[in-house]
Amino acid sequence: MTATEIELITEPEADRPAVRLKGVTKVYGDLVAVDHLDLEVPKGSVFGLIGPNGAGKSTTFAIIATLLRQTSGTVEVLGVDPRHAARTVRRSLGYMPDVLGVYDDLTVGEYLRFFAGSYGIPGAAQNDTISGLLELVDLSIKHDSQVNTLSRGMKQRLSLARALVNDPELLILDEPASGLDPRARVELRMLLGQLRDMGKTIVISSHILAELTEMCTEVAILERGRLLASGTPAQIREQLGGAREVEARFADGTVERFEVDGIDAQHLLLRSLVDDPRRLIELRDLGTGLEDLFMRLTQGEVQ
Amino acid sequence: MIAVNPVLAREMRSRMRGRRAAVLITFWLAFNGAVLAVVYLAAQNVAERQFGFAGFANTFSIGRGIYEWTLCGMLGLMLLIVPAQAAGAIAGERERQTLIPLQVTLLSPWRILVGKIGASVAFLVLLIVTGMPLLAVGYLVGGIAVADIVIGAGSVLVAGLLVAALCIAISTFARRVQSATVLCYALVLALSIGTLLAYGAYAVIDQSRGSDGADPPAALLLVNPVAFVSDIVGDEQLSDLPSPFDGLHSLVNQDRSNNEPFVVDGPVVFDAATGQPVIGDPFGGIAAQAPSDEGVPFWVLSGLALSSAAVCALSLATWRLRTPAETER
Repeated sequence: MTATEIELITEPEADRPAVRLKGVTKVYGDLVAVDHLDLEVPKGSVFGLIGPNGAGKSTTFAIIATLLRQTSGTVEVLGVDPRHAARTVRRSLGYMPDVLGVYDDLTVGEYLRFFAGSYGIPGAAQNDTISGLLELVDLSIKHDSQVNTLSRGMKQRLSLARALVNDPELLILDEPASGLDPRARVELRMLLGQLRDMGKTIVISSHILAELTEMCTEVAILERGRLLASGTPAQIREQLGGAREVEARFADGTVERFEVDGIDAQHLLLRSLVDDPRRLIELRDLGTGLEDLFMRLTQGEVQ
Repeated sequence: MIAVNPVLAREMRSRMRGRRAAVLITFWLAFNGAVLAVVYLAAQNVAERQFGFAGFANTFSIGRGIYEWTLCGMLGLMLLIVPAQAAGAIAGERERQTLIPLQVTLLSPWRILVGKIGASVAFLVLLIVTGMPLLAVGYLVGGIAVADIVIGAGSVLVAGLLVAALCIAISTFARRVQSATVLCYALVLALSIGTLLAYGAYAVIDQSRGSDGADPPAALLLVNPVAFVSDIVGDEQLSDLPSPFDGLHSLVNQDRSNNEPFVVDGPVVFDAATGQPVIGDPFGGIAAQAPSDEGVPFWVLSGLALSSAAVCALSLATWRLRTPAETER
């Protein structure tokens, strides 16, 4: 029995993370796509995986989604090793890849029925499942429309509905907002909020870092297949030294930037700004978002 | 209620939607109808030349000729259609990025492949069924039985199915539909023409070595789908119309019949026009007994060889589609 298996037995199910990667490495020839990655995604969390192109996000997702085998390290998805029980994992997993693959010659209803059948949902239950999903993604009116007549945003929502067809516990979304217009992005964000409220664990990657700031309870930053930081945005900030930048604008038109480190310093700064005779009219936090953390951590290196 | 393979259901829906299927069936019928018309007219000319009228006496061979040529047209066209239809089975899913969503469902690679093959077979059955009335013209003229039509159509269907299985297996290894299509046509050419060329080359080499008679092994033609159908359909009876299958039929049976006398059962008469012997009862019935068929018939061995190749190829295809995999597929 391996150490991981012993750990699995002794660990209470409720405490088990939805996903746990330990020293996971994936090598393609000379290319190390994922390099000794350690990651834990708590159940019920919205976990953001951030990194530049080629950071290893999609490879990590493919390993979690039972598509790829890691070269070394251990992977546990919903308490199961996907290498040995891929089918068990797939029952409770929804995966939306970064590319939009849909059958254009089917109607929306037929498309979802096909995937419902692929998950072994019996014919009688398929109608309820499909109508429920279409309502969730706001595509009920498109039930009989050909998929090729849908806009990109609608296709993205349909793809999300497809990933939800088996009512998964764990949802893996690889760049779900890519190529969407601002309105479609807002709709998608609201939809993911609904799913989070339904108690699903969501692992998401996106280039729109501001979106992840609003949605994610935890994030991990990857570069060149290596984990640079993980935790809540606040924890990562602390790991980086805690310094954040704020910008103050005064009534006389002057603008000043300050770096503050820790709660006490923040409090003192605010007090001094309020008492400033130039009369403070606006205060902006420049260093609270993931974008800032991301830029500070990564060098934009692509393998 | 029996659960239909979802891949099969989706494939059938996609194939039958739009104009493509209707156009293909129309082309299938038009082509085979044209073959039938040409053969019918040719047979009429032969009859008029021999007897002065397209009469009753030689309907036996004319009916058989019409049946065999129509079946040959069907087989040829099927060998052209199957690669085009089957090449995109998995490569098409990969190209339009729908394979990954399929692989994370509970469908096993084998079920995906079975669904794809099932859809190909269903379409082949549709083509064959629509072509049955054309084959039945031979029956109307005379010289063939209903069983001949069923056996002939069945053999073309089996050959098409086995080629489709091989092409679908190729499709799992190709990244693009275009490359899969090229590979599938190359395979069909290699099986149907390449094996014949190999047979011919063997005969030439054999003769150049000073053998009494070129005697290449029929095993070279075991995976040839045309040889498979020829052995089932061809009968080597003397006929007014040249048979498209008899040549291959005699080639693959050479091994078994080389040293056996041709047994004549019935009266032997001579054709007044050609001076050639006409063996058997010209009003129907068995014209001549084929050399005694000891051992396993070629078509059984050929069917087994093609089936084994298809099973091996599909096993590799299943492995190729299996996830989690070492590399992205």
